[in-house]
Amino acid sequence: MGELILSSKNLVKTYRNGKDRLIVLDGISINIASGSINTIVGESGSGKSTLLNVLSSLDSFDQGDLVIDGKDIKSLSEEGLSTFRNKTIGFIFQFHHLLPDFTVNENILMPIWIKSGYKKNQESLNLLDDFGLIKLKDKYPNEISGGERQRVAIIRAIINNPKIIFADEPSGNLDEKNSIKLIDLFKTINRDYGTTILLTTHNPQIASIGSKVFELKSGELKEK
Amino acid sequence: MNLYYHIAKQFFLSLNDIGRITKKISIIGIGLGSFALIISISVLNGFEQKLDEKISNFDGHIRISGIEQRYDISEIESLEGIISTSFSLDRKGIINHSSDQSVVTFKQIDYNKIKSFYEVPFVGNNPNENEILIGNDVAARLGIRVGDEVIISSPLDNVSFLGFPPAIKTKVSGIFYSKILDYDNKYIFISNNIGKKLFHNISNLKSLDVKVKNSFEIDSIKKRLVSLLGTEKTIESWKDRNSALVSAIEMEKIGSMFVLSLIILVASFSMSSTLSLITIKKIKDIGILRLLGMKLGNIRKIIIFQTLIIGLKGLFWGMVCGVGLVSFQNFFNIISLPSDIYAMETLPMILTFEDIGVVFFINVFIIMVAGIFCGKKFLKHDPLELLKWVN
Repeated sequence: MGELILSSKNLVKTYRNGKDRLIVLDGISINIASGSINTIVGESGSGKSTLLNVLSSLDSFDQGDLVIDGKDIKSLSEEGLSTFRNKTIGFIFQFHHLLPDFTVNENILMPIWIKSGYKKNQESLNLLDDFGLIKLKDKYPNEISGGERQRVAIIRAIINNPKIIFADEPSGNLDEKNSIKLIDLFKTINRDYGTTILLTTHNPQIASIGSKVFELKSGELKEK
Repeated sequence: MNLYYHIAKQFFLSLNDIGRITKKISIIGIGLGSFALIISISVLNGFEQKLDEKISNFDGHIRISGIEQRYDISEIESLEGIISTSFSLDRKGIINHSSDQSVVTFKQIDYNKIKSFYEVPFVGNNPNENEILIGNDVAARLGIRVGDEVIISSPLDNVSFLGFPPAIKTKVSGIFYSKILDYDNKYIFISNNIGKKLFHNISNLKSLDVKVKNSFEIDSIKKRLVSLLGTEKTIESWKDRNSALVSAIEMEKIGSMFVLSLIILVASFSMSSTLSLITIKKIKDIGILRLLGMKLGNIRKIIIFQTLIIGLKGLFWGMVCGVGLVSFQNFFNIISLPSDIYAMETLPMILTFEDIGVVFFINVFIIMVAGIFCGKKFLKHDPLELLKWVN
């Protein structure tokens, strides 16, 4: 295994429900090599999204250790975590989560603007051109199709050259044709930019793109 | 352009009809508040300025007491900001007309300065050295008309060996009407010639009335006079001599600023509800921005910018209308006053940059506080909670 971009040890995540304690993640240990594509599969309600949220620093955990790109996540402050997310991590969700009041181009540029200030940047247009979406640059999210929105969200996720992309059921809202386009896009990003990808899915076709496929069952993670 | 300003501006685009109406009401409210503040301050300034003009025309801006006429005042007159001086003497006395009499204050002055220094309007003729000018209310009380003969006396300064104060018969050449304080009801201008006869025990005028070029400089000129003359002489500005009145005006100014600021405060509540509406509507977007790595402090900046967009728009229009009305009044005198009550024919309005600054900062302070409190409520949630809120 090459250099590790993500490493977790015995991660435990529980939810309180009155007096009861529901264990969702029970000692998750996972190592993700830099530049790899990894997929996590599991039944609906198995906790795939919770695991991805915890691994991507969006959600807290009760026990264990999590290191991303050499940074111990627990040691980061709220502000430090924001900067870390902006520079190191890209997020893609089942729902595109584009900002409706901003154009496609502005949506893609937002992470750069947050990082380096509000100024003109050609990077977004280059990426839109590379991925054949340049004609959408001035359109608003409600003016484009669901597949296009998801691809724009992916371009936004890679604009800051993140080390790792977390994708939670990215094809969940897409038809088969658009799902295939999405798979190709992930492969292209991984190949051309060397970005590590960790995604959850219940679609076997998408799961198959991973060099490693993990299965989450009863709060435990096992490599398939 | 600033990113946070750009985002704040874009967030307004998604407002629905109710949101737009609430936003407009907030803008109008803040505008009205600032307009009312500007007008109120300018009117109070105007009245204060008129009072300054009128009192200074009577007593000068500054009075130096205990300074005799033989004193060399060239050093005083050469002080920067002083435009003219006049010796005077105020003494209590009695005026008799027919069978009526009244206690008055005689103001002995050099008649050569009656027009150049004491710009008190009067009806009748310019007095000669043996004539007097009396206040309108004194004249009305005693039934005196221009040209009437009266008898004046000063029992305090000139008592005969029999105990009766000698009386001087003199002619009323004019009746003045200053319409300030109770001056028309108590003052009588007399010449040096009459003064010498009336105040036998006093050989010289005892105080110097000083007029300054700019009434804003009264305090600084007073300080320079104190350092020049020392503390032996009593140096008082008209504000010192009428401190109760000046304090009342100041209190009224502060009071009206406070009360009118409440309009802005109420408007800021409306603004807060608009902002809350936008923030709740945009909570998912805020979650996305947090997801993309925007810091909490910068999310707060967006809310502050939204506050400023509404608040400053209202403030701007309120100030434009306020300053516009003040300028319009100063040019065209459209708002008139009953001159028999207010001693002026039109509403005086004066506005300084300092006043505009005060109104601006009061508004911005209230607006910012509203914005900070509004944003605080929504900032404690982490990005995932914000995204789930909508999902």
